[in-house]
Amino acid sequence: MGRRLLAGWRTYWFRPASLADLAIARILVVGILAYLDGTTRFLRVGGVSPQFWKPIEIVHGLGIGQPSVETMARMAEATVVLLVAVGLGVFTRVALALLLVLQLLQEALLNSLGKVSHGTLPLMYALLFLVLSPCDRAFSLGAVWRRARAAGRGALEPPVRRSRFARWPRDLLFIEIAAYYYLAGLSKLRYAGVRWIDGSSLQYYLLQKATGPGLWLAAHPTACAVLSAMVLTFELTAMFGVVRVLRPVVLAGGALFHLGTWVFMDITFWPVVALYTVYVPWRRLATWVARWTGFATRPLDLLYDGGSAGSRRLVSVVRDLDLARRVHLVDVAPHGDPQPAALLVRGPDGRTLAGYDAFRRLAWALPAAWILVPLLYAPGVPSLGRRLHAGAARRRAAAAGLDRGA
Amino acid sequence: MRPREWLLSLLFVAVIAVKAAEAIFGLETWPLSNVPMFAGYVPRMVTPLRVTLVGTRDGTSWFALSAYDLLLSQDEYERRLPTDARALAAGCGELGRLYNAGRPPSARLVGLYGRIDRVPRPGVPGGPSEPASTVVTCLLSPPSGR
Repeated sequence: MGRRLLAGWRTYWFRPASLADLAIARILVVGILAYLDGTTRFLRVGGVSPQFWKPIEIVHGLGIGQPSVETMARMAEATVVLLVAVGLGVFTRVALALLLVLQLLQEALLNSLGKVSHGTLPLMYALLFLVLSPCDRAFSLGAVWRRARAAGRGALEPPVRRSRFARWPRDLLFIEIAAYYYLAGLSKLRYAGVRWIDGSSLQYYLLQKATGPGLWLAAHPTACAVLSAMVLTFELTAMFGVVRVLRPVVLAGGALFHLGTWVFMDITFWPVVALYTVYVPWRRLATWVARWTGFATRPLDLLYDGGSAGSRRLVSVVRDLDLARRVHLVDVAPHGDPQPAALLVRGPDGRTLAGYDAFRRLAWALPAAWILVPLLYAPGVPSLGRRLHAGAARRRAAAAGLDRGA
Repeated sequence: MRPREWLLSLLFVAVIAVKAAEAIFGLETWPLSNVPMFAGYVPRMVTPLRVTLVGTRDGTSWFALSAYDLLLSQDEYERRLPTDARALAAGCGELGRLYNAGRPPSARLVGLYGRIDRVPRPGVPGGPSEPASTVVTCLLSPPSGR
């Protein structure tokens, strides 16, 4: 029995999952935080009158006084730098750990102005879980760089796209989000009891918030009672989303719940709703779009010289960017002639392109490189690119000649 | 299970235990919370009250003070506006003085009052059928004699 439970536990948490989805979760969390914080969200902590400064226990315990506007501005700048580093995947885990500490500190300070808000707590948990996860193994400049260097030193290893440790961060974050709702429901039962669903409390809060739609709803006590019952039902059943097949239903319920609080009470809690995007199966969605549009069915052969460290590095980068898996790698070194052009691309029409034109063709085929495509056609860039490629090819040919001479 | 899986399992259990503790003990110390927003029961006979501070810089045109005027969020601002007339009268003057602090004389308030509006509850028999307001004066200069 115990062994079966342990096996079930292990399967639930540690079944291999997509590293790309985890990396996208990292980028989404960074995006949410960047939009939420901007560079000004915490500034008023230093700007408000000292009479409003009411440090929460943790701030008081740490002996932190009200900071100056300048201090808050410096913290905001550091946050932006760390967000960029995490988003791009440069020193990702270290930057994430520093970001978590800095964000917690700023949140604690913001909560020391007389009203404690818990709306961003799920984001803090998301940061914590990402720090401890391999979220830096995909969509990360650091990982691309590390793999390219390793490829230059030795044989080209196939990229790892799944990991046993890629599933748990999103699942554990779901538990945090679901607990957020569940605890809210439990609090209603604790402080008000089942009578909370008679709609009287909701009507009171709607009249206090006084939005147009809220005042309309408050005029319909029966509708208030029905909505109260629906809210409490949603909150108390949110935990069912721990079962993955039920999760989309819970998230859809959550989206409706937040839509309701936004329309009727002008309360958004949008960072929590934005976290729902972490549960979109992005990799599967991208694969489906690539197939549906026919994008993935037009393969491209990339001919490279496996004996050249530079070619292996380049191929490693291409493989990292090949999200739609369109590029078919062909190592020509075992068949004799090394390719001094370093990069040859053969399209589905059988046409072979070399050098800069091959590079440009490749950029079209790699979704992660699409951002570069307009630049590659900008006036002056093609001629400069062709000259650089020609120079690099000459140097390679010279080096190959020296090798043969030796 | 491998050592790393055991360590992570400990983390999972710890997170779940924290959530359970928040629920069971009703913990409410940031960053812990049992999420008690809107959890209180408000009987039908309780009348909602809305508080507004209204000020003037020139004695003729009056405007409602907003949370932004004091660099506060809406929630933080509302926390400082008690619905009891005596408490409001005792505290609203300080908010006015904080508004004036650091502002040039031409931008300072010369008059301020607090208004407590009773909001009628639809569908409640015997409740107030018409909105009623209570107005209190806010002292913009500190009380003397103490």
